[in-house]
Amino acid sequence: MVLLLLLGSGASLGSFFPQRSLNPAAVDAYFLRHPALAPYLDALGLFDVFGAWWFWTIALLLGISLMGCLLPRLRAYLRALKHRPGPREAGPLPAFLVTGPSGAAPGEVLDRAGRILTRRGYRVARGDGWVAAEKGFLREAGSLLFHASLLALVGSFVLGRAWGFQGQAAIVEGDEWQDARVNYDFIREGRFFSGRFPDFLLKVEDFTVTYHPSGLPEDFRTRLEVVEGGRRREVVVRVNHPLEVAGVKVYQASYGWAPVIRVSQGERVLAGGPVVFITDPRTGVARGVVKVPGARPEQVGLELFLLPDPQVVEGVGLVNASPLPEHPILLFRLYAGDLGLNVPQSVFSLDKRGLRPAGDGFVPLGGEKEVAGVRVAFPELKEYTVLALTRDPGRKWALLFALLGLAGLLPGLYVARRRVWVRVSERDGAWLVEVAASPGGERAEEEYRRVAAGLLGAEKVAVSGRG
Amino acid sequence: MAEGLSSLLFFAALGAYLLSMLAYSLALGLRKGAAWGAGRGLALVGALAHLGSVVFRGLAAGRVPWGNMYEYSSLLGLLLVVSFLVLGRGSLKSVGAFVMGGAVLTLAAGRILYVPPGPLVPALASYWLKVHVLAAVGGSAVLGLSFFPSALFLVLEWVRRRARHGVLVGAGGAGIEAGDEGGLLGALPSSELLDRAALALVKIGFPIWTFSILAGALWAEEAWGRYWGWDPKETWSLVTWLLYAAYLHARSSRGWRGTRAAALNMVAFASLLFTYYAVNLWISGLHSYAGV
Ligand code: HEM
Repeated sequence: MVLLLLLGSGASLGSFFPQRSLNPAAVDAYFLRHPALAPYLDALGLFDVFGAWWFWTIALLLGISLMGCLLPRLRAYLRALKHRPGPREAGPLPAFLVTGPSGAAPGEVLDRAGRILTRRGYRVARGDGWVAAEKGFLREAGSLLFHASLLALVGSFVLGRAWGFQGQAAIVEGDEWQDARVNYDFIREGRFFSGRFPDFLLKVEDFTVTYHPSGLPEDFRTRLEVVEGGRRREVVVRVNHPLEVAGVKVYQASYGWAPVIRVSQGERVLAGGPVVFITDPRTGVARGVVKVPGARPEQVGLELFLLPDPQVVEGVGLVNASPLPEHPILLFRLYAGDLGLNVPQSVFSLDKRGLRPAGDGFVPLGGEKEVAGVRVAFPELKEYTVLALTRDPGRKWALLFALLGLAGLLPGLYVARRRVWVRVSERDGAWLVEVAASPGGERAEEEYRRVAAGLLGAEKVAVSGRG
Repeated sequence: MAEGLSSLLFFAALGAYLLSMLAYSLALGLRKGAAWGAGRGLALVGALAHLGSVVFRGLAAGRVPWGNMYEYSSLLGLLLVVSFLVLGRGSLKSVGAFVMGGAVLTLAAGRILYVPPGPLVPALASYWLKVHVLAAVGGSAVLGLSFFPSALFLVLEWVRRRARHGVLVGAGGAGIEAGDEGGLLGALPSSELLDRAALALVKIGFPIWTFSILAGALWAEEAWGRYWGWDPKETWSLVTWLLYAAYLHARSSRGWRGTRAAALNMVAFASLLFTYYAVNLWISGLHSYAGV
């Protein structure tokens, strides 16, 4: 229980501090705001609670203690199943105890007790002068199933993580994409992932976003042709409607603009094709970069902004009015100099240290513009779709154990274990019947009272002893 | 049209709950059968109006009426009252005044977060989401309901201890003791009953909450390709789940009863509230998709 509480408070910490895995920018901002404090917090793992050693130590301890108490409980349970209920051991008074004289012979009383208890679903055993009965094994079974499933569920997550992978790929409309490590824009492989990608081919036919009249997106869908082992099929991947191919699930994750941009000098085409832009969600303006190392006499780079629906607002200037491509235009700034491509760099930004601005311009869709001898054409506006691809071999198991756990929880909570003992002994020449039972709630006591009433007659049973 | 009607019924329900709260309070003081009946009747009328409000809200938005904080709160209030009417019959009626007060607060808080009906972002338009949210709200309602007997338990323990203390300290104390047993304290159910009621409610709410977490994980898997991402809402619902599990353990394995168990239930309830409100309002994560 202490561990449950500890794990809970540990996890809650993760929501008070920005987490690297969720929002790395927020962590950087925190470092800027609290330069003195942040390194200590970082050392304690507070920016990555769910990857921190102490978090997993508590989780592991919880797992071990769960395992440690499951095994003995399971053994005890199996033993209890095999053994017949025995007579009540001498000891403190039971929670429920009614005694009374009996007119009938002991054999007859015990026969009757056996019948009553069997009818009520008890397992009954009979000995010399006593009957012992027990029911509610389902409680322990349910509880065991629940706790074991919990353990197995966590195991399934770990299995899925360690033997699977998660990746993302941005694919422009009309392009084909081969499932291979190099083609992922981002990939996180599990420690034991075999490295064998299933090797299917996705061809993005088109991508569409539909909007509500209010401007809120209604649906994103990517129409795909899937080629797998020589078979082709057409599918649509939408949010909440993933595709499953060769054990990999493909989700609609994101999307953006990919304007086709052709850069030329005189008759020489230096660059041409769709360029993946990143959209600022607040303004709707997308930003991208084209690097042209083959330009003469110097290398050139372009920083471009795409406005799908530009509008001039008095006093503000040019803004983007909606995400609909009404009259898309590209604004660009040309840089000349050295792109610095001898070191690896992001495709989404220019390394401006060796560059100087060489002119600005804008191109509407279908147009072209020449700046400083460099011609920039914008013949077509495409979209790209970002697909998330995951392989998770633990998925089926997780679902199975989740259902088993839930199935075990209900009897584990609601079925009560009840034990009843009936004994007939001789006292002062008369037969004395004693009905004892294990502690229970109101409803259990109600049942015990009825059993006792069936043996002793209703009027005697109102008085019940409490131990 | 439908939205206007929904709002109208919402305020009608709010009014009925307020009156019901007054009737239940009166019943505590007067200990008259009629006042109990009035409280229950008003709560029932309020719940019917409230149900109408939720249904019309769904019609106005053209989807299930649980998609933003206002709608969650409205539904939470409704389910709180309904689960009280269904589960709290008889002996638990004495916490009626407090439960109805809780319902009034829930509705008022919800109205502050009011937004006009509108469509959801695509990620939220999922079958699993509908199940997940419904179970989360239902589980919260029942677990939230268990707060009331536990809280009353603690208050009563405190009052009784003070009264007993009074007996020892001075002559006036005896008067308090006797007066209380005959008056307000006598009208309230025994501590043991409150203690057991809280446990019974947690036992009902816990599996619903468990199911909600599982459905939520399935939804996340369907929408994003991962069951669990440790976003604040997920984290907090897990924390809340662990706390209620700790409560059940404390009772069944450690034999906690009474004050300690009730105090743990308070902590779990605080975490539930935090999961419900604070996470959406203060901390943003994927769940803040839903907006407020
Ligand atoms: C995330 C972890 C856990 C959860 C959510 C959980 C949940 C539960 C629940 C709901 C019950 C039923 C309570 C009742 O019967 O009233 C229960 C019972 C029990 N749990 Fe756990 N448990 C967890 C971990 C553990 C661990 C680590 C242990 C071992 C140290 C443990 C030992 C027990 C025992 C002995 C019972 C039996 C109580 C009884 O039958 O009355 N549990 N648990």
